[in-house]
Amino acid sequence: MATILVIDDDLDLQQMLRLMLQRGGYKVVTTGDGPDGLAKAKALKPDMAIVDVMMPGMNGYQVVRKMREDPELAGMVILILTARAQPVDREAALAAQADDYMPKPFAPNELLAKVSELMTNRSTFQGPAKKTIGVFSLRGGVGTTSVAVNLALALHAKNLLTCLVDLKPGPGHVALQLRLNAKTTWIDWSNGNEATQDSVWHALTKHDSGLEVMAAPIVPAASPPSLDRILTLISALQGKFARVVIDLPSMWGPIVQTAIGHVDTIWLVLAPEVGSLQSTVGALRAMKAAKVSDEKIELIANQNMPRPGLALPAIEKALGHGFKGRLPYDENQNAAVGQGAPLMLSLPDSPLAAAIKALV
Amino acid sequence: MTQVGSRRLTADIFADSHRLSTQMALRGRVLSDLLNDTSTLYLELDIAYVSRIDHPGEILADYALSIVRKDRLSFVVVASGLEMALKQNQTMYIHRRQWPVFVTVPYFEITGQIEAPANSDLRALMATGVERFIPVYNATATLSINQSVKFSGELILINKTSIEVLCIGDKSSQ
Repeated sequence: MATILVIDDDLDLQQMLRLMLQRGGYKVVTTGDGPDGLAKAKALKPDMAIVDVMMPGMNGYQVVRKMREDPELAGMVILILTARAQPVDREAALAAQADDYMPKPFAPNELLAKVSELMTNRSTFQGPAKKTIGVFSLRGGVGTTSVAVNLALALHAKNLLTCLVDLKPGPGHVALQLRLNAKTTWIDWSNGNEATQDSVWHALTKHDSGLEVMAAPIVPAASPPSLDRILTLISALQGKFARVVIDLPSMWGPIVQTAIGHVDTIWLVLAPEVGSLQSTVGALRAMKAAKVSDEKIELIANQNMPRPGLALPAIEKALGHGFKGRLPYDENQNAAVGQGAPLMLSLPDSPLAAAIKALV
Repeated sequence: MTQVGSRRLTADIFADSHRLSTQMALRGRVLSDLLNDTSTLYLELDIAYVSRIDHPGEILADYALSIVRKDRLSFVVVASGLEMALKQNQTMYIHRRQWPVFVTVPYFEITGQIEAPANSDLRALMATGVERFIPVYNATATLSINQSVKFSGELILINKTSIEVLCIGDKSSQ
């Protein structure tokens, strides 16, 4: 029998939740405050926690963050149940890395359905296993930004709290592809006085889809940001988001070398043409020299032109690397870029969007 | 379907620059009575969770006891629990009609339905009556400088003295 820990300072509601969940076949443990909830969670290792937000001393968001920081608890399913029922409150709950959010008041059947859904999905739950993916190519024009944008949107669509970072010192095109008017860029942030987690959060721009974006400047930065700031930025975002997708510059410089050391996976994108193949050979050698683990590297073939180009098996043989993914040519892609309407949103069943979805 | 929630009324209280979320034990009274009670300038809160308007989802801090000046509030959002916020006879008044309304207060624009006489007289609505807070039903308050930040509720009680613009639409319903 699955165990659910209820953390809510409203004793009446605690009792109602206990009865409801017990009738639903769950074992229920209750507590009225955050610190005791954390202690009970560590001692009992429940399958799920239902956490209120408005609790004195330690609020629900703080409780959830503490749970996610604790390796023993990080995998627990967490539902925030709160009377703070506005859209900004849902965003705050997901930003705290809860798996889901439900406003009070609620219908008992709705709660049981939500709990059941979350428990069922638990086997595929990826909450604590955060992942940062760098999308990279040493050759410009092979579609890395398009791949990064659509990858981030695909992850976001899977209810994974995702941030897309355009780590180009400028000009970056993520904002353009999302038709996003970003008031702050990562260069602005890195040149600011404070480089804290909170200041990173405030420097993000939210796309209409809900995806959080750290944009690059349109005008190239006059001086490169310090590498410490890049590390702080990546680390702060990794602390906040389940998935961080970084669109890396097409240059083997300090920014890329710093970032690549802190990503879990590198999507190395190439187009089936000679120039791209040569650049990919160069990128693989540079990463080998930098002692980047080969297991991190996932090769993505992006058929970004209508003509077939080099045969993919021949490329695999030449590189000694198999492809993780093969993205087909999509005639809608140019229009999607021009209109600032990524295929993952505008034509989610198009060949390119479908191929990226299949990879996440 | 029966809804399960707290016996306390959850309200979001907005001053110019901050949001205070609170859960009020009303002890037999309704929220509008407390707000419109002219015998005291202040409203005491058992507990308040404070957020800044520019990041209204983040809780800065919580305080066990707070007091707010009613005349300095802009508006109060009640997401659900109308019966704990307004007296029933106020909502059932049969000689009044509902009018679509657009109101601006500092930093926010509010839309919803207001109850007013069939021959609606805006000047009378603003100038007469002892009640400081006007109820707007099924209302949404939108942050003017960032329209993605919205607060909706069954009821928003707007402080008349904070109102900058009040517009009433021409489609009414009984």
